[in-house]
Amino acid sequence: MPIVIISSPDEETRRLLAQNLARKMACPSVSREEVVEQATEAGIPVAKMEMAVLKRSTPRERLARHKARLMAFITASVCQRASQGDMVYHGRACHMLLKRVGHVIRVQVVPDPEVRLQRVIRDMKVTREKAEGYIKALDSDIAAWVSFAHGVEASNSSHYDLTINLEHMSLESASAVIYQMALMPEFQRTIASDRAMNDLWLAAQARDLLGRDERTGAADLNVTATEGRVTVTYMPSQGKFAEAIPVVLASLSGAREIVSTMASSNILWVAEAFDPRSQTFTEILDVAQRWGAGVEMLRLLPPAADPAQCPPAQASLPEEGAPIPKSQDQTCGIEDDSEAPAASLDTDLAGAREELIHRGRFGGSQVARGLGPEVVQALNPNQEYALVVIGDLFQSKEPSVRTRLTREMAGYLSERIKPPVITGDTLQDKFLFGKRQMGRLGLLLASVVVIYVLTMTNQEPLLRFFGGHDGGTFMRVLAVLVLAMVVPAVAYLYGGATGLILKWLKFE
Amino acid sequence: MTEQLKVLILDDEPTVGKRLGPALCKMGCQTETFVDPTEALQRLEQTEFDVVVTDIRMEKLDGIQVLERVLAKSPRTKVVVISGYATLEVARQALAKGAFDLLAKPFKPADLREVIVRAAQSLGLALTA
Amino acid sequence: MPVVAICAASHLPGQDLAPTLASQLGYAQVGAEMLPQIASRLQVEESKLQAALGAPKAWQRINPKLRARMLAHIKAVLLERLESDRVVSSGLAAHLFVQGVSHLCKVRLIADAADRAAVLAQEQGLKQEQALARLEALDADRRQWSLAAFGEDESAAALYDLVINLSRVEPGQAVKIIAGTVGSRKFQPMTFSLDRLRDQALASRVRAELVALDPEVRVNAGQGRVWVQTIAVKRQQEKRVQALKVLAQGVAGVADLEVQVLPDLIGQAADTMR
Repeated sequence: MPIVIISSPDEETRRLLAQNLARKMACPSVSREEVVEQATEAGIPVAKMEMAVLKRSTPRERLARHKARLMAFITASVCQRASQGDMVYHGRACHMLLKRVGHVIRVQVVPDPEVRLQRVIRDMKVTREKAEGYIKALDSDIAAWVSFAHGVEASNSSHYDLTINLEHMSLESASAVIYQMALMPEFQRTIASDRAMNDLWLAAQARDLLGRDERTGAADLNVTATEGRVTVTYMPSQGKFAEAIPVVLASLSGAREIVSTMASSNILWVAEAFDPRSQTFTEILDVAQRWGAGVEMLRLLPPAADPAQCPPAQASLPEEGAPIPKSQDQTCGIEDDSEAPAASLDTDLAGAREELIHRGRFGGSQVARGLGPEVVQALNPNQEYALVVIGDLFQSKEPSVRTRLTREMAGYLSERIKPPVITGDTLQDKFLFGKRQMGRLGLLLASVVVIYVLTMTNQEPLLRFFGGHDGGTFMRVLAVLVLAMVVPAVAYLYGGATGLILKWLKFE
Repeated sequence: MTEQLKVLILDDEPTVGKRLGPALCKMGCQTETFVDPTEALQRLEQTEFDVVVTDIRMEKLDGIQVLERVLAKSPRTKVVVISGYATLEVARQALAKGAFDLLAKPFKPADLREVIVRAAQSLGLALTA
Repeated sequence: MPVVAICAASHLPGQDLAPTLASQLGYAQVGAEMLPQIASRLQVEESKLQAALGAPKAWQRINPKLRARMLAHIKAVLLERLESDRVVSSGLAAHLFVQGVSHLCKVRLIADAADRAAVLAQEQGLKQEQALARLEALDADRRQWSLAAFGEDESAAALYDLVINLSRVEPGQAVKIIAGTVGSRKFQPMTFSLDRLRDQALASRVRAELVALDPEVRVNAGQGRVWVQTIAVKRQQEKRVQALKVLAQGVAGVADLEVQVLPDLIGQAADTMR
């Protein structure tokens, strides 16, 4: 029998359905709440994350790391139980946990709104109006949590195999439908689906171990497993964790091999504000993923009018990824007071930074105030940069002035630093393949083909002309001049077409 | 400030009171700490507190019940809920029942001081963290 | 017996499930073949009607009066068919306008975007990426259309009793799941739900007759009794009531009729300004 995963915003609905189904399948039913409680006991501050989502506060770097650890903990826990036999697991959006495993049925349950409302009125002893407000607010919080934890819209049916609406269907009928589905051949365990689950389990265990250990707890790591081979990738800025990774993972059982690799280089993205939904962000991420590089963000603020108000020219953000407190038991959840991190400049970086951590491409961030010289100063001398991208700067200026100043900044930096410097709007042209590049490739290829066809069909007259057999000195000089002009043109066309083909094939 | 802010701290884990009590005293609050919810409620019957800081998960009585009882007796009291196991469901329930704010453990005393300052302001009292 | 309304996303892999389901259940299948009947009632070309359904731009280009007539007639024809029981309906938006009928099982069929894009790519000779982009636009169009025509987002899970992902469930198995669901007690017709469907069908038939006269007319029905609500300026009220009564009384099943006229305040204000 498969593993059945039930997702719903209403805890009671999913619990009752899971229990009913588990009885039919003669297997245990496990809730998100049980697993999350174990995660809390293991030192993952789940409540802190939940409250950050409730208050819609900007997710911070440390929270993103905790999230990665929580997801790993839950995945490992579900896989471990599923390895022992059939299971029904239920949670808010747990369908995202075992995405690639074939013997998992992902069910979305839409609760009966009236039943839910009546239950809230009864349990919380509140008026209908208050109960409606509570449900609306809670559903909105859960949607925000699902977006924070999994980056998807919880209600999107396309992520599920089956959606059941309990408004018109009894719990018993719904359970019977899922049970019927669980008997279907397409959801039974296979060697391939078991292998996929084992890989997910192994990667999750590795990520959990690394997050739990003081030596690697503050690292932003991307952990994957393929056929028992665990690969841990870290960004160049986090080279200090390299030695500890294999040591920490030495206790991981079931791994055939452990490979720890550093992303080869960093892309420096200079901008005033960083929007994870912007075109530039998508393009930079695309290039970084293709190159195996990290993305370092430099928030460049305009020079301050009053020097007294200036932060230091290069103000590295406070290190938030400090190791997780040794024992919450000793403090009972009350930490020592310390200097509050002055992170007001940090808020515009937070969204993009969290997304980069989520994608395993975060290469560090810093804030500076000034112009070109400050960018040069901000470059880490021990870091190899593959590219510098100048994003949105000079936001307070007119668009035309902004474009001019951005180009001037790119020109200034190109003359002073080694890595190539480009502006965000030219990223697509230079490194990615889109419609425009396709048109250009067609044009270049057509020109190359025309030249080749003309050359091949007119070999005799061309040889005579370039061999200087048809005339005197004038014709020889002319032949040399034509040759000098034609060769670079052909090389340009041919080189351009080849470069675009390679870019298209993502082979650079 | 003419009068001290009266704060009751309730957590079945004695360390919490021991750590939070002095931190709030430093900012000029008059604090009383309890580990037993029943005793805390008895005290609340005798005197009115400006702020009650209570854990959610306790053996005899949970924090939501304490919240209900406090607000039933003294609607002006600000109740701050603290918990290491707070979920969205519990938090929303606490807010729907009139909790002033929620703090998830682990937190620093400074975080609580900030909430206490806001609570004092909403009571029309001046206090600085 | 229960009735089934299927709403399938475009470009699904595999064959249309509705005929298989209908034959397995021993039901009749209704769908696009009803369009000629609706077009002839409306006296519009079938191609025009077909082009307008599901395409928000084409829909917006149609005169609002004709739009109202189109919707009224689609509802009337389909509800009349559903009323006769043992029917699997697909492609005529029954899930968007039949409300509160507990023996109607609403099913949505979906598939992963990549699988649907593959179907579209093969159909139109596109590349997978182009097909994905086209699919996204098509889905957005359908959502926009369902919102414009019926005020509902057809992709919302809460509209359906079941949503099945055909990328993971074989079509034959999907048919079994639907048939199993339809067989459950909750979908067996009850007097109340049969009455509800009968009332909605009657109201739709009456509205289809009246909508040419008043595109905004509201019609409700209950046990053969029909309530009509219209808005008219004072001097036209009597005439409007008479005209509506004549038309409505000609509809089969109308036992009792009540027409209520609300004053058209804006129209009256305009009249006094003249």
